[in-house]
Amino acid sequence: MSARRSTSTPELAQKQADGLRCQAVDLPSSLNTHRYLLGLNGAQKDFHFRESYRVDHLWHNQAHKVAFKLQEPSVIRIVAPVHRHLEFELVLNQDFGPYSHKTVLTAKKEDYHSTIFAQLAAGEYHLKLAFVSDAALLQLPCQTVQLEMAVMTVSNAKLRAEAMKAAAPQNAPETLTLSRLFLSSPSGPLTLYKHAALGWRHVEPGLPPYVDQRELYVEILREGFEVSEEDDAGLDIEL
Amino acid sequence: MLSGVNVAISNVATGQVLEDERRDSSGRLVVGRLVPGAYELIVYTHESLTNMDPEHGVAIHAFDLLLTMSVRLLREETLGGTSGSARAAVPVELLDYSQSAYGGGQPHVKETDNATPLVIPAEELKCFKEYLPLPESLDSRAQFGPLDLSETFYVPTTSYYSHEISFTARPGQDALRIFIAKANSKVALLEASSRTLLA
Repeated sequence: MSARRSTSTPELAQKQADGLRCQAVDLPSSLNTHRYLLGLNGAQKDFHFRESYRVDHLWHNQAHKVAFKLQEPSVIRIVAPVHRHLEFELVLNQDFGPYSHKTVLTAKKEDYHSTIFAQLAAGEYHLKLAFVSDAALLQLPCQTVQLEMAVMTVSNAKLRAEAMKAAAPQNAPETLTLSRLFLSSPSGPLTLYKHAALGWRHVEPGLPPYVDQRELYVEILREGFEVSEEDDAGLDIEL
Repeated sequence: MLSGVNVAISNVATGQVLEDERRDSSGRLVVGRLVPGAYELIVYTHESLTNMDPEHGVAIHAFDLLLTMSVRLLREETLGGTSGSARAAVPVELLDYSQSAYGGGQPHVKETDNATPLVIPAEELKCFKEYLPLPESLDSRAQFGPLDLSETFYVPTTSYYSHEISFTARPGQDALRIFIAKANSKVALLEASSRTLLA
């Protein structure tokens, strides 16, 4: 065996380094930035992103905090699809100074998702991701967790609800059928509108009543279909 | 924005479930070819667990559901294959399971029609599954206020390609920022009717 000098050029080395570099963004420490809550002239803006965040640089068993400040009463929704290897909890806390906070809501596992949905008054808050998995899993290169985060002011949520009603076609049905979807979708998507279709359950962190995950499931459409050999077809479904 | 709807298909014989890939406000499920057999399509969501207490005069009482959905049959077109067979319509039979028609036996075919399949070249299918095609219009995304979109799109070409995305500015929408990351592309902003180059 003989050692050979590497023949890689600086360009090739850069290309290889780009391939190794993790593309995921770091989990933010604050949402008070233009990407998230900070709008024009410092006003609060709404946001809604679903993204994979890098966590391999975080310390094991040291909860990561994402701080944010609400200038107006707002509704917040955070969904964390269950990770294949990593286990973590989502906890939403309201801050009362540097050393005092109150837990507003702890995420419940809900059909393979952990979700926080809350209406919050103006004030300072932080979201805590508490990892309970083995450190070796957390620190795998480019280990990520997926989070869907949305914040909207209550006033905008009300406006949006009104806009949704106005935007729904007058004759929009409350249900769709699969045969209609198969036949009509090539010329454009179909719209369904249902007033007050979804409710919510009030819970307090750590206190009964505890809600069974399955009680929260709401089915909008379930229809059977059969594919024959001659069809030789796949599906493209968009929501 | 504040709720999520998911779609899944389940193979009745094997119990295998294929779930959609969720994005900011949308979900997508692409299957290149379905193994012949019976399936169920399920669209579902969840009620929320929340700190909102109905006794304290909360602003939101229930959520309306506005869902735009398409289910297109898809065929993969292989290079050198006969494009005619891929583009041939897929017959859709609507079966009648009502008691009078069914009566415990085989369901009756109530109606037959043809669905036009979406034909995707085999080389593009992987991109089509993982990324969104560039949209034709931003109007549906901007109808509820500010547009804040961050997404990876695919362009189905290896050579020169030009794509136009239309949008109608609404009152209050008076500024626009577009950032393209890691692409050898150019962006131009044109006024739709006069084709005047604005930026």
